[in-house]
Amino acid sequence: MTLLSVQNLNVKIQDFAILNDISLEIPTGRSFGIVGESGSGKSMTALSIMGLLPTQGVRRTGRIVFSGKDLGLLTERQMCAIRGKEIGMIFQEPMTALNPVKTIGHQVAETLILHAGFSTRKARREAKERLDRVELPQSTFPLHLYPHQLSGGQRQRVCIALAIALRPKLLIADEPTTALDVSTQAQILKLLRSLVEEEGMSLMLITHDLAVIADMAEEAAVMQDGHVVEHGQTERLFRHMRHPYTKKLFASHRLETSRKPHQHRKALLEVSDVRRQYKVRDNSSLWIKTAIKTAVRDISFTLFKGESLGLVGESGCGKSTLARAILGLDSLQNGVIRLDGDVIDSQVKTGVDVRRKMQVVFQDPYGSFNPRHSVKKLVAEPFHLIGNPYPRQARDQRVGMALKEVGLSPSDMHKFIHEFSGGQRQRIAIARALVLRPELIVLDEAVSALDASIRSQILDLLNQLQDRYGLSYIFISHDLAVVKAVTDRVLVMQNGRIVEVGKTTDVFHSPQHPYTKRLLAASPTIPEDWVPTHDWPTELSDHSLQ
Amino acid sequence: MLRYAITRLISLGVSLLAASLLIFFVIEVIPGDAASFMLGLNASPETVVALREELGLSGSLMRRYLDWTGGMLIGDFGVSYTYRVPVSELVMARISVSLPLALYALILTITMAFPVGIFAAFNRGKLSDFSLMGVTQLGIAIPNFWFAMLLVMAFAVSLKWFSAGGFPGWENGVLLGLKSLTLPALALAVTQASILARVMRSSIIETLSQDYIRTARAKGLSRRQATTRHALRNAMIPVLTIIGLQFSFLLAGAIIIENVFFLPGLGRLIFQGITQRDLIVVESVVMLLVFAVVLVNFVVDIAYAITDPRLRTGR
Repeated sequence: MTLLSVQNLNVKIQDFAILNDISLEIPTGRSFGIVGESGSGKSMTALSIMGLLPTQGVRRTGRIVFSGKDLGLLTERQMCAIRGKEIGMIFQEPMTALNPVKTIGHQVAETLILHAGFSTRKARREAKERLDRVELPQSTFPLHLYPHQLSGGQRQRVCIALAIALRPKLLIADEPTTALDVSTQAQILKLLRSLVEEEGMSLMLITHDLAVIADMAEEAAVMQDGHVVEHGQTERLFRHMRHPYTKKLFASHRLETSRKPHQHRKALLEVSDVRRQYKVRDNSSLWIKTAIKTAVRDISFTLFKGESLGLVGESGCGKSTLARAILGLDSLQNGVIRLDGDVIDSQVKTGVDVRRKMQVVFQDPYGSFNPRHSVKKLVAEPFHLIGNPYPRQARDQRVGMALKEVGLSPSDMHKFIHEFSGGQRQRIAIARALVLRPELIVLDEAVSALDASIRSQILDLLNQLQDRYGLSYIFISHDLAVVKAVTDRVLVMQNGRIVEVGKTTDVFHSPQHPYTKRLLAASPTIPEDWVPTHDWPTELSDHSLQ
Repeated sequence: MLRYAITRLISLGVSLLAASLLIFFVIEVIPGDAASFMLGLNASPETVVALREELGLSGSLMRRYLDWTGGMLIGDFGVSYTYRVPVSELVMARISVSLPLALYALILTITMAFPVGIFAAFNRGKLSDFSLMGVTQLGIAIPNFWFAMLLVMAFAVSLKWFSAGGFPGWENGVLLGLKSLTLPALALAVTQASILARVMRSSIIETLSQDYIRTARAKGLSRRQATTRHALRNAMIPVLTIIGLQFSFLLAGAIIIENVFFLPGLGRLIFQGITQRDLIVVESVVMLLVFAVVLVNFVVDIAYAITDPRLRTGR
């Protein structure tokens, strides 16, 4: 039986078509996946169903029929009665999805009071039960906690608890695990699956991750530029891939990069017995108490020239702290870090010659640039580090060259950062890292915020640059697929320790440490036998700039 | 929460100490003798010496500082040179006008600004929002003394509802006192309310674009419910900051309005103290105002913690 039927849905915002002729059917008690890249209209489809599109300048045509009711004909008041009661929704960013000034109990109970007319007492009792259902037991997660006292995964559970408080018929989950790390993602997906199975709920799961769809959804639709390009039973969809865009999405998901293995002999970075501790203040008591937290415990490893080293682990395992120590941003409590023989230490002013050898690229292509500076100024920034030794003309020339190397045009230096897409911004970040001709680039989740197709372009670019300049990379990522595709060796970190180290292929094919095994098992995969047998069309390997 | 309050209280004490040292040293240590400065150029040496004795300028620096601060702690601010009465008496009389005036103006400010800010935010981009924001623009632009004079012309001269100025004193009845403070409070409040309404509006608009408002809407709350239940309290955080600043300003900065309405307030007292070179009055009243401002900040800090649980428990 069909629970939700979307028929010829068109949405225009100020004459700009956002959704074109979308038709979908979601059966009762099933999981339905929507997959596509950012801007493909996935979230807009969900918001149209919820009736939460912006009010001004939006035109919607077509029918959305939900359990026999045409949602387009309902008044706003009637729609409010359906939202939260019959259709629940959860969103991508659990860190900001909850009201910071209200307790979690209040936020779960609110749905019950509002829709079911529960008394406060009854609503609180029910809220406890619902939090239990999402595995937040009362003993550790009482109702009076505030969102900031919970981790991202726990907050997402609270969001699920409030979305399912009234046992809606349909739960829309918009990228529910994108902001979470692999093991938390696996737990949340398991929870969602059990809700579908045990409560008879239908699930509409929106994601950019094909593996999550393969894992979770019985039926799926692929969206591109506001169109549904292909839909059907998930396994069949994967096996056949009739539409070229589906194939392209799949190809970039597989991350088949043109990487050649490298011969490494000469050590570039030597990390020995590094310990990093910091004081944390305990704010719960009246007196000022500090505890010492050890984020990195006695870590040693060597990175060779021209090598790519992966650093994986869950959030909070100490990956980024280690990276900061390598970059000389924090002082060490024990051990020593040497780059090309020179000691890196934040206490003593590390020399210009050492600093220019390492650069960093961060995750967020939107937040890591000053929006008021031209690209020229942004890319030339590292020159300050070495005391601006070049006259202006030579500097501009080098900026132009760096931009060219990352596949942009030298004339782009006069533009501002808002004129570029996310992928292009990340290219600019790489250009900025390249401009001083470093030997080591630390890539801290540098491709995590990018769509699959852009991500593989950036990874190809990094490979080319490595071949050309013999660069070494430290690749920090929670995305195991990326690390598997582009690194020679991998370090697995847990609670500040390295639990496993080895050649990437070895670690991924026969993990030794139980933690690595767990991590690998947690990351969703597309079943091997679903992969279609035919070859990829050749024109898809030609990566053009978006 | 308790720990937060205690740390704020400690910071209050430190601020007061720093302020008292600064005021003391600016007035006492900076070159030029306070007594001869107060007496002017033509004073005879004998009068200067006599005044120095009277002012207690002859002891050691440390002793004088301790005398001054110790005196203030027990309410002894010294004797005004020009008025020949204890400064504490002067100040008490003036505070009984300035404090009610500031509170009155603040209450008017809030009662005007909140509805306007909330309404404008709710109707963002519509004609009503546009016109209200135009009015607040005007409210900020109009100098308040001029607006005060308009009020006097309309309500005192033409309609004769209020008196044009002066203060009858609280002993003639609270209502009468409040009545004479109404026009000055209104004149003060219009500018402040215009500022606060704009802050309120933009703060609500910013809050309304937050993810948790979307969550609230997805829960089935109407736009109005999402705003009142989830946006308002979050939007209050920047608004509280402005209210704190405004109260401090209203307490000490009402001097022009006090002059327009012939009100015997603190602003006028300081102004007179400065023109008559009565350093004892100036020193004490400045210190008192610092105390008031620091106290208001403390109250605002506590209000923050009540509004935002993240401050209470620490991050």
